[in-house]
Amino acid sequence: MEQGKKFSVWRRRSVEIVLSIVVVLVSVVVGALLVSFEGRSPISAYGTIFSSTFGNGGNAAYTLSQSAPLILVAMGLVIAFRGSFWNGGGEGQMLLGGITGVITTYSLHINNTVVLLLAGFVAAFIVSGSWAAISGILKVLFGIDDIVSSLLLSATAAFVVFYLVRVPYASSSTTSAAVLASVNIPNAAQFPSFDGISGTFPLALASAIVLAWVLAKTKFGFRLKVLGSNRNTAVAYFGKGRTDRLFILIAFLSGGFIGMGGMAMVSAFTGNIVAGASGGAYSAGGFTNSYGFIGIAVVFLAGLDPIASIAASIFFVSLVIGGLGLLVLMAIPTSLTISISGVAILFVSARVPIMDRLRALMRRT
Amino acid sequence: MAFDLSFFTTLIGTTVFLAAPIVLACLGVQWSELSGTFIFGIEGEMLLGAVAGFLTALATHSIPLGIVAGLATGVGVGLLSGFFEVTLGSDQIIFAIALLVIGPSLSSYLYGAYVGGHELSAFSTSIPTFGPVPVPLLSQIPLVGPVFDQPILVYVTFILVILTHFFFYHTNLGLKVRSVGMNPLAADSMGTNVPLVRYIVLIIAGILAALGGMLMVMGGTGFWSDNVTAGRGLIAIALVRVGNWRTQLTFGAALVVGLLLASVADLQGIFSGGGAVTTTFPYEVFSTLPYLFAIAVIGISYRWTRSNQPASLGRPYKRG
Repeated sequence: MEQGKKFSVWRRRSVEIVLSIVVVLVSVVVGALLVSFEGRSPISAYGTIFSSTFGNGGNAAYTLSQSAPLILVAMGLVIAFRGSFWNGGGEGQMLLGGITGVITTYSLHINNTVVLLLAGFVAAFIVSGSWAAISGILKVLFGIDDIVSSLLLSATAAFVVFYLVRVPYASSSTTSAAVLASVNIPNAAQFPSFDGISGTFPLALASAIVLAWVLAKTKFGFRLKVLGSNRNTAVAYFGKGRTDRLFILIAFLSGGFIGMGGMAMVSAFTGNIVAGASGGAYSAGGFTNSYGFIGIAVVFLAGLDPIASIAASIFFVSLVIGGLGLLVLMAIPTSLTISISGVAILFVSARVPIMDRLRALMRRT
Repeated sequence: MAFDLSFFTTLIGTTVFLAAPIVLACLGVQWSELSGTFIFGIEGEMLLGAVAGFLTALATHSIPLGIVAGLATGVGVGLLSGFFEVTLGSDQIIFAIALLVIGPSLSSYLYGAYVGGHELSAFSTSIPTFGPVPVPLLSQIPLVGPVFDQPILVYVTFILVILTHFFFYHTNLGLKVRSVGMNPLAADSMGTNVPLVRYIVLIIAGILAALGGMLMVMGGTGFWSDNVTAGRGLIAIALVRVGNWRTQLTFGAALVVGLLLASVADLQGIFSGGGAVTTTFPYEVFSTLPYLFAIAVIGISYRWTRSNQPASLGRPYKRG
């Protein structure tokens, strides 16, 4: 009995992994079709993506480093979706985290890297977390769908950041009216890197491991699981007030991790925030690389598992980085690779029903 | 101080014009959600319809062909939604997020690829736009005259609002569609083909979304810009909740947002002093108003009214 159960768990796992690989392959094929729309060769396009991401040691280190912000965003989304908080506002939360990091490190006037980074990450966590917690509170108090409110608040955040970048924290060196950039973070606030790998990458790995442990082994992780699987059960077990507070806490933690992703982006890579002239509905100037949305593909491709999310994050980040290579070397717009991740999300949405069908088929044979 | 009537006349005209794409998106959301399927990705559907219409009109120099292409895209996206959400029974929220990612990126890619492939400059890639077509007599009425001095697609929108309301709340067929949204099992046992109804409704929603997206491009400047729909689809989702899934209330709410948007344009012009970047006044506040308005009114309507939300919204229906 015990052995039969273990076998079926193993079989389910392997089917899940195969399914994830199939999703990735299908989206890559769709991407190839899109490239040929322009009359280019898909093979050389994917060759460029590969060589600019893992072609040599330096590029590989850069790609791994770049995956840190996305891993942090994915952690925030794992918490959210495990606890049934539908966070669609990752874009705005990441943007807010980034600008908070810039403002904090810029205004502190300290030259100590550790203090600056700590202050930046904590501030980003609190600001973005509070922004996401608004959605949680609105859901608890008024019953507003969390996905609707988080999407709307995300658009609002983009305008707030646009103002901050335009007036109080505008870069003095920007002359072009079309592109607005924020001030740069002080040199001391740059995240140190080791052998070409940014320090944010081990930080992201550590958060993933800690989160995996918390979700699997602690009381909080258990409560999250209960709330995520059935709200009524959670209310019956913990009482309504406690369930509501837990939901708001989930929203806060989710936004907080996503904000840390924004701060990681600023402190390790961009150094400032760039906003397009239009303000944009939900991604000011492309600072976030659509990570708030791509993160959703990551976590569902990884079956809401923090450790598997690392691998999925690296895959999607190599698409994004490879997209930049495509732009430079083949003049193919970077939005192509974001479309490819969109197609992956499309197929990920059908993952559970497909699994059910496969299971039914396997039972029959 | 002279009371200037022409200011209000212009404002009313602009309000109706800016509200029309939102109204179309609202109708799409309402069709889809009254039959029990979430359509949070309508922003993406609008953008795909808009880019198809724009590129076809650009390539053929013909607006009717552009509209046909946009509508065909709407049908295609509707079929895709049906396949995933009805046939496969996908998670509707993840599917919506896929559309929210694909819409902006794919439309931007297709535009960039087309313009780059034909070596066009971004300044010369404009399409002819809809001119206003005044309705005789009605457009002469003082104050509300501009309501009847709009592109044809805006009149089509008004007609669609009336038709949608009549269909859902005054016909047997509409009741059947709503019953699919409330209790698909009961509808199925009464002989309604639930998957077919949801497919058709999703296609209609796709067409409405594509119309809204095309109105944003072809009714505006005739130039493409990335994210041309600028969050109108998101606002539409919220407005349908504000209007409690009732067409007339949603329409009213969309007009209020149209008025907000029209005043925002005016206020931004006043407070930014023309040069948008130089002033220190936070005119971005005005742009957030439609979003905050939507959140506030949803809160009020959820708390103090009997919800008309379809009972089976968001649940895929599986027979047996």
